[in-house]
Amino acid sequence: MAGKKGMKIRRARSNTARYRIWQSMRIMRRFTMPDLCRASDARLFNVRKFVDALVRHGYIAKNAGYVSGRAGVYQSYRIVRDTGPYYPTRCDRCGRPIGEKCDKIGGGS
Amino acid sequence: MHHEMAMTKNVKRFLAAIRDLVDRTMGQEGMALLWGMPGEGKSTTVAFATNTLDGIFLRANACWTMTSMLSDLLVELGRPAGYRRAPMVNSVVQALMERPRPIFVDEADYLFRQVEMLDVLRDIYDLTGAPVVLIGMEDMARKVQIRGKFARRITQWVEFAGIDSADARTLANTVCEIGVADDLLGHIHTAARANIGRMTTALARVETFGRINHMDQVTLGAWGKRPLFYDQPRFKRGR
Repeated sequence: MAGKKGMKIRRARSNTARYRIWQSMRIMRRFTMPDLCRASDARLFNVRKFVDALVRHGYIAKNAGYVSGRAGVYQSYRIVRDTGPYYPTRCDRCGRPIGEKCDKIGGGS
Repeated sequence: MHHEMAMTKNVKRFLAAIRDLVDRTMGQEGMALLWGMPGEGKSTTVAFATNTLDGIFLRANACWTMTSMLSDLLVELGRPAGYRRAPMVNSVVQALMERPRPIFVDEADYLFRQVEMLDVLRDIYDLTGAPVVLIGMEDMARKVQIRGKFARRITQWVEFAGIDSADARTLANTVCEIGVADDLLGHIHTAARANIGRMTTALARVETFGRINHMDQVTLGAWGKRPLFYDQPRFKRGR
């Protein structure tokens, strides 16, 4: 996800799994990762990487009230910054690629 | 648990209706109406259809005017929004002629506040052939039927009803990684009141139970009276 030093950040493309995941987020507004897998026909691994990156940069946020360890109950998220039909590849606050840490929001990991 | 779209009758009917609209003959009206109760899987299905058919999704709101509707449509099409209606319609038409895509409008009840918005949508599908799908709550179909003039433009009426036992089997086979016996599936179907979201939660619990106990198939006898959902308990009124 972080890529290699000096690599160019690609512009968002349509008809990719990331595009479909982002569209599903914009349509559902509140969603869980399995919802995104179902709606976008993407694998959970890919969805998780993308969701974690968007949380780090503040595009989406976790909803409160999640209790872990229950079968069939998943963390839900909400979309915070809807930046249009093309998914973000570079954070509009810190300017870094979304695969990297964001130093403006304070999200680490 | 497999996180895949279960092809229930509702989903199949909806996708078939949209494909019919996309492949319709010249002169045939190109509008569809989708309605249903909350929790029937409408949003997930619409998101799936938008992704599968490369559609455009718009959500109407109470403040929508014709200008704001066209601006939102242009933003979704990746074009700059304008200030005047006629150039915006031309721009929308041009974008859709270059790349025809179906348009999905959620909360379409709001369009009936200004009928001109519906006329513009009709112009767009007349000029481009791009089908328009209106999505709303249960009352929506009734509202449309009252307006006879508008009702005849809608050629596909799709209602999202609760899932039946055959759909429950499709769902269990799609999402569950272990077998679920017919008696237990019938019990889940009844307890969830045919709500697909609640059925998925119950099936996840059944799957966990089956895995822990090394079962290939979970029956109602093995499940017993264990709770299927995570609902809060109901207490009798205290004295």
